[in-house]
Amino acid sequence: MQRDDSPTTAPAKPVELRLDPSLARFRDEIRTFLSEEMAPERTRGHGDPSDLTGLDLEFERELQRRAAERGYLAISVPAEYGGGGRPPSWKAVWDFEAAYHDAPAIDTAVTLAASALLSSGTEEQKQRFVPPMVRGEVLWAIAYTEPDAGSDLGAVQATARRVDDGWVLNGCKALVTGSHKSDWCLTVARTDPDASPRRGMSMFVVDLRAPGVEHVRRETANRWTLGELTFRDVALPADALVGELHGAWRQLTSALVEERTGMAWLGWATRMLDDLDAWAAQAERPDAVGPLVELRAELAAGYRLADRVLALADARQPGTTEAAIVKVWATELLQRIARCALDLVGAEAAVWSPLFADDPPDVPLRGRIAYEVVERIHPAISVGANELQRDTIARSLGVA
Amino acid sequence: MGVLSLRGRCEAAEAAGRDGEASPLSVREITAEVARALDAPPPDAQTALVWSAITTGDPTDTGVEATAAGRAWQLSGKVLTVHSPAAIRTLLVASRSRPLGGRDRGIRVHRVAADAPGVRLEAATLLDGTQVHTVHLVGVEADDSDAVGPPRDATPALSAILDTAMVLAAAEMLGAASAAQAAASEWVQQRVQFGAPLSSRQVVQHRIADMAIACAAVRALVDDAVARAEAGEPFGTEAAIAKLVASRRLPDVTAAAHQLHGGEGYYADRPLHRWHKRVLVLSALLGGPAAQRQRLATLFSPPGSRAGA
Repeated sequence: MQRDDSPTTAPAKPVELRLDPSLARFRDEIRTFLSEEMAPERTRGHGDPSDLTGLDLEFERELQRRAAERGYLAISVPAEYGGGGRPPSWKAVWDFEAAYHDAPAIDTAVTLAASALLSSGTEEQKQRFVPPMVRGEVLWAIAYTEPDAGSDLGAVQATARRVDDGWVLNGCKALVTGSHKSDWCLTVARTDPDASPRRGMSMFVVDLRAPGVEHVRRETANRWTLGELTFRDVALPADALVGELHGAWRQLTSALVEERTGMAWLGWATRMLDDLDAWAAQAERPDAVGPLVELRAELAAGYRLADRVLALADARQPGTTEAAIVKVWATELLQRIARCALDLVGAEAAVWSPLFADDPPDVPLRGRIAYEVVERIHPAISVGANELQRDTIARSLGVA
Repeated sequence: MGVLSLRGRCEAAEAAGRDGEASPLSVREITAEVARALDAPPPDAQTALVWSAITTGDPTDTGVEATAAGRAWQLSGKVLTVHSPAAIRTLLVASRSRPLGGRDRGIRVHRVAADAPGVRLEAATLLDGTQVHTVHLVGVEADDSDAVGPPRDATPALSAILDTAMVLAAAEMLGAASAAQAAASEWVQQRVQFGAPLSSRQVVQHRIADMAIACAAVRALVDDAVARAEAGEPFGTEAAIAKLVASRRLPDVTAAAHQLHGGEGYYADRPLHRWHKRVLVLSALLGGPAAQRQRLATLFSPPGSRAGA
């Protein structure tokens, strides 16, 4: 969406992430980069409501390439694979700022696939796949979920059958973000049909242009599409296996935790509250101040919870429960912000626009409130439904 | 008033809500009802109503100011229509005059050609796909020959229409929320995860129960407003209460249906989003909750009605 108000000109808020000086300098640097890259004159003409990012593939690839040139895209990937070698909190700050600026740089190959490959892949796989991710040259998707295996990955039915020179992959994968534009995906399939998925499921890399890969785009409630992949006798080479044979269960558990620092959610929440504060001031709506201040206080709680998750991640300590708490808090806060905005603004907030319309409607936040109110349904469902997060939290308290 | 009783219209609005379609009753028919209430011939299919009370819920708020210009009036303002025909030829514009020199004539409704000088229509889409327009009027000329109905203050007639519209909106939201609750109840009984139907988990059962409780509360309020109307009593307060409670609580019901359905329920080819979006749009029309709270505050305690109010 085109905006007159550049987010970087907003005055400093009393509620901020607590960053050490070197990380704060990095944040300032990427803020400048992202606000220049995402300026209305740059995004104009590149809107694509059918993609989750709201932007076309040309813009997305170019932005990722430029971010990679400056070392931002893979800031926390080890230096031996071309990354910045910084702690995970640096990547988290990148996610926050990318979300705040609506930049198509959140579901990147690095975010979705690098951690699984780096933690479980062979040296050959790391050398082959990670450097192109770091350079922003490839797009990856993750295709774990199936129609009957959503929250319950133990119900996966896809199979990979061992043959002389590799594997033959069959099955259906659902709710895949960005599969229509991706070059590669990570998937999981049963490799021991007689064992439970916990003991008989393996992870693979799949070339999405390989024969036997079929792809359908399905429109979501907010107009962008998710992918459904069908694998029909897809021949995988022997080195497509990632990690241990039958070992995908453990690998998935650790990979999903990495996705969940919560910073993108907090970035979107911050952006909405900044925009709503600006609206309330300009529209002279003193009655909006109380509800917006309360949401800002809840955002502060989100920041402080995230501080803890990032400290644990940087110390390479497990933080499953802490991550679950941030996930539930941040995703449900996003829903409350969107609903509160609709309640306060009223009818004009029901006018919908995709994020990057060349001619956005002349209403408060230019159609973003209606967009958000539909968009924020899915974070509470995806990346481990919030019900599963609550299970994790209850178990950690010994309540089970 | 209408051809149908309020009860019959509520039933039809609820059915429209269940179908997840924009109701012809709670929005489109308001235009016809305004004409009827003002003893004017029914508007054609290319007529759009320009009266911001449909968005603000305040019957005295027209969104358009009429300034005296000799024997005529000049109309200026910016109003969001809540439903627009595909092609608009005529606008029914409600306006208030600036009370200068004793010329406050309350609210009058004029017929204005959509291509008249000073009229600009900006197309927009509501989140449920409804096509609407922002109507910009700058010094649009109108005189008594353009007036709809005999020259009198339209405020009482419009106010009654707004009360009816609020009850109908609550009924339509109830239809959508009930349908979402029924769909969720069915889904959780058939969806098996972790070796058992979702409905075997007590937290899921309680969530369904909470959805049913919210629907029951709104149904009781809608029925109350209808009963008052049938008894010939004023029902403005009851209508506003039903609309506010529906606007605050029923989006939680349709959102819960989404949460229980998981990713599959988020697809556009599934019905859930249509119910959720319709409830969200209707919650924001006729005054969003923030506006409705203020309106109810004055209905509960009219200025000067009570010490300490």
